[in-house]
Amino acid sequence: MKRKSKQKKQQGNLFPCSLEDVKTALSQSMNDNPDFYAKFIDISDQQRIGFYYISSITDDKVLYNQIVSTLMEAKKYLDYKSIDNMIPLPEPTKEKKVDKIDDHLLQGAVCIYIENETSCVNYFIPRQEKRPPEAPETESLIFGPQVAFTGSIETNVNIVRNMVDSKQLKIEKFLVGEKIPTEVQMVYLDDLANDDVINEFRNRLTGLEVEDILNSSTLSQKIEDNPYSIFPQLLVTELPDRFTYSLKEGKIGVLVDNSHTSIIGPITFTSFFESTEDLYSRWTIGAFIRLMRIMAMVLSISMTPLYVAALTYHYEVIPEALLLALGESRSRVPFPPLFETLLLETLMEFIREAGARLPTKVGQTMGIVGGIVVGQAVVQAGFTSNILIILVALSALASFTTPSYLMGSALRIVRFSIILISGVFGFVGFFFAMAFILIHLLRLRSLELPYTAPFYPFQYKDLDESLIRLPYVLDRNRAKSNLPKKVGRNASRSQHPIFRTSKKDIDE
Amino acid sequence: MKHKIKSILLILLTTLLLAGCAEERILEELGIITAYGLDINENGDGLLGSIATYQFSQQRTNENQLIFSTGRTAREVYSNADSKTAKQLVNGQLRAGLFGQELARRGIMPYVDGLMRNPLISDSVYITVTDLPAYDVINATDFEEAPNIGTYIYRLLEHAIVNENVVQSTMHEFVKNFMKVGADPVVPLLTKENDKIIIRGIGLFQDDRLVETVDIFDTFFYRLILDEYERAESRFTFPADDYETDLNNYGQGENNDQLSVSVHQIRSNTDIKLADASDFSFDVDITFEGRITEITLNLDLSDPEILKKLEEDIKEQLEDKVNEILAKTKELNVDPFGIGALYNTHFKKDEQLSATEMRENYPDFQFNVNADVKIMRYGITE
Amino acid sequence: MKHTVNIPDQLKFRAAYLFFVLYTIMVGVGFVPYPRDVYEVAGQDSWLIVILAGILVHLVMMIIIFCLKSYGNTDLHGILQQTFGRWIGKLIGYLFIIYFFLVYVTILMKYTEFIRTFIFPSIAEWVVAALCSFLVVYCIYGGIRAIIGTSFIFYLLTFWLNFLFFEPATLMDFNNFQPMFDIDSKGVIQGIQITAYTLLGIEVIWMLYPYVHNQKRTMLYSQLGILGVILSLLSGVVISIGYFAPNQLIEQIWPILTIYKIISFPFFERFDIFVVSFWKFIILPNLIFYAWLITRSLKRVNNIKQKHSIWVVVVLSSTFIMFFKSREAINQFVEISAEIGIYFVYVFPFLILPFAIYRRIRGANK
Repeated sequence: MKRKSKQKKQQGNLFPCSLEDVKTALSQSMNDNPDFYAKFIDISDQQRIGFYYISSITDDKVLYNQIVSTLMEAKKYLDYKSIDNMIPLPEPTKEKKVDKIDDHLLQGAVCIYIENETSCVNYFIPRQEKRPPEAPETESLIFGPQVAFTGSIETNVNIVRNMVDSKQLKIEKFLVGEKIPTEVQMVYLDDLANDDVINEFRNRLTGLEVEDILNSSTLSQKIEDNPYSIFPQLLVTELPDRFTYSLKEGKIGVLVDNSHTSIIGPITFTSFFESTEDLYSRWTIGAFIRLMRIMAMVLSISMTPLYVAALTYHYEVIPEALLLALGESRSRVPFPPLFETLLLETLMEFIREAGARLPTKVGQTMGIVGGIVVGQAVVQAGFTSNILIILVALSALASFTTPSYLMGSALRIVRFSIILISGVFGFVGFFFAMAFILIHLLRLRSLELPYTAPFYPFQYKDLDESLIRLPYVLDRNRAKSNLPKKVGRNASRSQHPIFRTSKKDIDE
Repeated sequence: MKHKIKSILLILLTTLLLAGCAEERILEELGIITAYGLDINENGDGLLGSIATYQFSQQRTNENQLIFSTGRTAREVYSNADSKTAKQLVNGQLRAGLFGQELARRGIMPYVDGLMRNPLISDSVYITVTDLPAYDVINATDFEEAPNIGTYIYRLLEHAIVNENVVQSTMHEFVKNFMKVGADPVVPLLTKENDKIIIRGIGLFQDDRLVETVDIFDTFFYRLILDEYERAESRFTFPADDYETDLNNYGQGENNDQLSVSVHQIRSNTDIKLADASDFSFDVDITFEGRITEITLNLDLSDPEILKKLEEDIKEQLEDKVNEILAKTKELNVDPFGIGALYNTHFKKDEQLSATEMRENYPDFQFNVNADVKIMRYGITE
Repeated sequence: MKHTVNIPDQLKFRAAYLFFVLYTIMVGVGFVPYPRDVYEVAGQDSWLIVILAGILVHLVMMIIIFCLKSYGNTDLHGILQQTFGRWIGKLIGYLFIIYFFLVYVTILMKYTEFIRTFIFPSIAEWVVAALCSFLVVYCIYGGIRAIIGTSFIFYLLTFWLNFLFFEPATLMDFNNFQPMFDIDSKGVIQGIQITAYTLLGIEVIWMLYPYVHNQKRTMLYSQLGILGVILSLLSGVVISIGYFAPNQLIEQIWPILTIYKIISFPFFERFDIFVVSFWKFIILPNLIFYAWLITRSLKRVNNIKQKHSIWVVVVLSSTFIMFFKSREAINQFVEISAEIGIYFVYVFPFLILPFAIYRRIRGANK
């Protein structure tokens, strides 16, 4: 008991003491890690200075060239003020407590202590492997910029700052994780983002009580409104252009250190079917592709369940022209439709998963082997009907049109349960499942804002931000469902040639 | 609490899935009936059913499976048939019901009613009667590229109805006309020729009893009164003598004493109006437009006189034919055109004629037929 | 119990949603057999009856909203207790709850009968009840926002069924409407009564009124909602009369579904099978609203948590429908609850009206 309190006292108020004492104390709290270093130099007879740092995360070039050697050459009596004058680095932090120093050291600081002073100073010289931005991997674009976020938050903030050169861009910094803190930055445009939503997001981040977070994707799952749901309620993207576009729409972005992806919120269900590519391409193409994706989503979750329901219970609804083809292809299959479909859907998932786990080159081969060879063999062997193969392939394809990988996977899993219930209750079950999904979506919220906007609550003017895409001359408002501070885009269209001449007659 | 609820829901859902539905009807395990025929059996005391079903096989050789069975009622026929096949017979895809002439003359409503009551059977099933016993007709082995005799009948009738060759004959139409006071059903008449089913004309019903069959040529005029034409085709024949003065003969054929004209793209409309309720007299106004496609004698159609004469002749023949048909319906006491129902719409409920009164009065109906014929164009040569 | 109801701002909804609320609660199982029921008493002039009954419903709705407005920010139970005192108010409140429950059970029963007739002849009642209850509970747990949302989204998803009447409309025989205006006063009264049964559901406004954001527009949108329902009903009746022969219509149990029987698409034959399954989307808002009315009323009257009472509703209703197996029993039950409904929906507002007028006058004098 006594010892404990003594230790506590020692930890709290170590200074003033000798350099060796500091070393022991810090080394102890660093668990005697081998990459903890201390270096002592004598400036003059009266004065010794100690440097404490963790070699693996400090930039040794900066440390030796700009700090240690400068001080070594000083040859005069030093205090912290004169040190700061000599070192060309940003303002240091002054610390008195050992556990605070620990934290700084772990973030790449060097601690400078002048013997027998009552405090020490910390300079941040973190060593970060800066990687140049690479092309996006999971959310590839054909027409957009081929840039993705990197693993370094510095680089990511740099990218964002470069893309949004505005005074209004506000960045808030947090440390998330009690045991292993990770730096998290919340980014938004101050004149657009809604204060309540900002507060909500901030509270979610600061109120999070976890030991550590792995990356942005895990962080998003931890702060989502409904963690049980199958649908993601925050958008995780690796595209800086998507990130900055969302900021300009009045949404809030979060960058996480050591994470290739960023988080965007609040979002709606349809956000997952939008891609920045719709914005880059002309409006007809953009609008068409957007609608096509929504259609693909609906087809992807309904085609195979309807097949199962129709073939198990509702032979009446099969059109005369299809009846023969279906009957013939089914006649050799030894399983009921439900089992047959589940089998083939699972096979499809195996192929996808195997392709994803294997290195790219092997993965491609895997896809071909799985898709063509196995598919062909399965039909030849009479395990499934060839019409089902078409349907399963189509719905798998359709699910991959979803730009967000997370949402695409969620839909594929939803499909399994719909198949199951359709196989038990036919169309009744199918519509039960559909109704359930709809009610579930209606109940979901993203940062306390409705997930189904702009359909419910219905915002007629927001439809061009979600379901369709209008030509830019007509797109004059931000989506109201995000509750931005300013809805209008301040774009006067009167200067556009087409509106300048609208009062004139033809050929005038 | 929340977890408790969730687990309760989960258990509920699982039991639901396990309970499931027993009534699976998996496609390939079904004998899907596409058409069925009913006849009176040899002893005359029951029914003979001929049921055409799908039989699925990978070889695509023979998808047509016929099952014959007997029974006192249609339901018994059906259940007897079920014991003659390993598949579960279902009638949700039924396309056509064929009734043998002998049976149809006794009345078919008990069987149609059975179909009507079954929620699984579509209302657009075609009701037809057959010239030969339905058994013979359904036995036809040539059904073009259709996979099944039922499908073939369906396609045959659909084609004929779209082309306005026969009257609309869905079950809904049949029951509607049967139920209506002052209207009788009309259905297509099928027969077998060269081992292939063809349409031979129509059958006129009195209530649910077949009383008369009409051949395909006269069917045109029945349908003319019954419904509008938009694209039909017909032929008219006159004695050639009338046109002698302006004849430029083609060759010296043998049929030169007859002039036949084919008219196509006929657009027509028949308007029946009650003229005088006291003596049941009706005005039947027919407007008739068409184009000449074929003519057996070389007439100068650019001559307005000749065209006019042609129109006059067609009009006369049309009126004669319609009068003849109406007289025939009076004689048979069937009302395929729903004229009785039309009569009733002019009276309040208590003054309307009942079904039996209608039957009594129908032979007294008077018709004043008046046609308005117009020949529009006559091809690309004059 | 507090007389005035203060709803937090974020739970309120725009008055425009009342259109969808009223449409989805009024259109339900009653629609399908309606053309026959009304034809039996009113014959070819049934369309006239729909219009007359529609005017009546509009009028009643006007009175209800007038009452709500004069009582200020309160709902049915607040009005009852302010008008009749605590105990009688509570008693009438309970009667309303029983009525809501009866309607809930009726809907469930009818839907079960549907499924059994058209799709699964031997499915157990409790399975259908469970399939419905699950969704009802899930939606009620989502709160008022999810409930209104469900009604709105399901309206959008089911509205297109109206367009499918186009094909049957081409097969109509307009002679079936002749002779017009051949109806006596008895037929008119009976017909209006039958129509009134079908148009139950406007009572939801009694409870929803405090939740409306811009209460000034309540009148406009609820009347529009009723108009929408009347138009749908009218089209259903007109097409049924034209499509069926007079005697044939009387034999149909579910004329509207029979009409759907002739619709088929190249990729989907037999549309009636689809419609019966799809009918879930139509009855679900019905069930949800009535379940909400029951639980919300219980909360207002007795302060019972909605979270708990919804389970009671679900379990009770599921056991209830097990007792009614034959079509006759079901019909009888439906008839009784519809007759009770007349009093609760159409007579009750007239009872409150004088009090409301008195309140207005007193308020004006002050």
